[in-house]
Amino acid sequence: MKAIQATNISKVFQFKIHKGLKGFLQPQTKDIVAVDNISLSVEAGESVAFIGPNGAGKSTTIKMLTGILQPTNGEILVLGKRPLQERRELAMQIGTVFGQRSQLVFNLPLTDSFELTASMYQVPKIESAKRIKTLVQQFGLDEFISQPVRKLSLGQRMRAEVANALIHNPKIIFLDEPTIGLDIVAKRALREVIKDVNRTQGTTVFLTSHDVGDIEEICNRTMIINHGTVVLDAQTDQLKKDYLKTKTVAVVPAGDLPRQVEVAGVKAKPEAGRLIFAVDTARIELKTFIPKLFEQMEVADITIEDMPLEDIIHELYTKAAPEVDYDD
Amino acid sequence: MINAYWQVVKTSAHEDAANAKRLIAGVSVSVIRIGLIAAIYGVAYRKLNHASLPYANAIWGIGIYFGLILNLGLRNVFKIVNHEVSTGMVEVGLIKPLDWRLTKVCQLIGKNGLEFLVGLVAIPCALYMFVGLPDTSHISIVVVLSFILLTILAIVAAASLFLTIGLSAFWLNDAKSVYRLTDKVVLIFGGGFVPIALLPGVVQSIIRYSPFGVYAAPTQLFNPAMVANLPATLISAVVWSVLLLVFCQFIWARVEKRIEVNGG
Repeated sequence: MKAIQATNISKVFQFKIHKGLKGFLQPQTKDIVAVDNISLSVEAGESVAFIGPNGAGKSTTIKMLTGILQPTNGEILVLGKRPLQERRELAMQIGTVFGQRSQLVFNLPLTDSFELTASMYQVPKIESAKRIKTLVQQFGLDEFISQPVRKLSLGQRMRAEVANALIHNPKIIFLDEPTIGLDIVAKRALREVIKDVNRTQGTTVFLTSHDVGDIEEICNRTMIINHGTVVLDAQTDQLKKDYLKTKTVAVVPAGDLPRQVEVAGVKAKPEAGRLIFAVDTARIELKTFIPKLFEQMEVADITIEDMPLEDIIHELYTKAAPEVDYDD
Repeated sequence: MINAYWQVVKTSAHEDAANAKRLIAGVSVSVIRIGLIAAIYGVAYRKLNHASLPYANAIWGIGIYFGLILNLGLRNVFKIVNHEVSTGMVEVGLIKPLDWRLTKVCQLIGKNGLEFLVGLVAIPCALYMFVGLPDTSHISIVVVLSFILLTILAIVAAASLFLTIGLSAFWLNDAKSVYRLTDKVVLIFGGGFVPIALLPGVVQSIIRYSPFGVYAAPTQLFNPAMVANLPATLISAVVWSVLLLVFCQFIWARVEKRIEVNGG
């Protein structure tokens, strides 16, 4: 069964070129194409990452899918409903989390927010009490359940936001940058619970993020959008093989920074007191590279990072665009 | 669904109940304001005798306006709507299975409900202390029932009007200037500053059959002359409340087509 079916959707925003009196006398407008004729299809139970750089059109797409924005063109069906025309009926079946906008009651304990949400979604009292208890356990909220929301850390709050969006047991959960601003511990905890919800309850997850970790750990499918167009739609495993094979190894040497270093055929680039190795894991695995590095030099500190998402998108946009692989 | 809106009211009231200082300050300001108005009117009444409206009745009329209309704070729905539109928070409301506009009204009722209820006791007490009891010889059960209906209609009209002004932020980005102008006009012609009965006859007639008449109507309980105009006032209040509601709905339909929120 299709959870989401969008066909040739576009969103064009119009802006006045001139403001004030000039704008009134010369009412010229400029069109900004936020989403340009995209089609996408998501099966029930899938977990999909919808990623792209700032201004790519991902939040606009989520807002069209949830019925907040009206598409300029195209048709959308979410759980068989037209989001804008049947917004409230659809709202009963979906959950939404906007990473930068809280849906919790700021000055009250979490329980009040949960009870309010349960009431809004008409969850019967006995059922909602059970559901809240389960979510509190699943999301590890019991330590701070009676604290006012304003006193929670960002990580605690985000876990609570996701739990709050799941109280009515939605069929789809839309997550718009849920891990934004979180530290690594909080990110991991949140990813675990989202993954768990998808796996155990079959909730379809539709997630936007700038964080490669979110995509790798949560989503089995990744769609990349840029300039309002889907530039890639692939299984995440495949994407990892194809595009996340380059790891950045940043090393702070114990002694002076050497000018030229080459480890196992990988040349280092000196940068801000560090040596940066771009390791192509298809050619040499990290488990082989790292020991060779330690053999060759004394290391004071080391970090290993994925290639930045912006770089991947840039690479995809410049190289992979002709090989776009749409599922539908 | 009524349960859900009621829960919004309760949660909002619960959130605000923690702020006891705001409650005390709010009620105190209302009482002080009435005291000042009573003093100013006292001076005016000593110089000019308004036989049609006794002094105590004039002050009770204004007091009721503050107690019933202003303390419920429905005009503040503008501030919430304007803020949510300008910050993009409106999108959080739109993904809920409730009507966003009604939710905002319920939030305000919850937020101001306690102050409103305390004011319902404190303001009449203050009025009694300042000016004594008003002349109630013209008040019958029909007048009281009509007054209750007029108050409900005034609340509906106020919510619709200030919601509509808030919605104009979708075009203006910030509708504070429209709000300030409307608020002052409503206060002046709604009897918040000057009792309607003290205005010239022509102005009174215009107000009675204009949207301002809907707001002014609850202040007329203590105006003996209002009895004669009661049916016309009621009809006018019903018509204007419905028109303002329909207009708000019309603007909302336009808004839904042009919603643009931050991000993307």
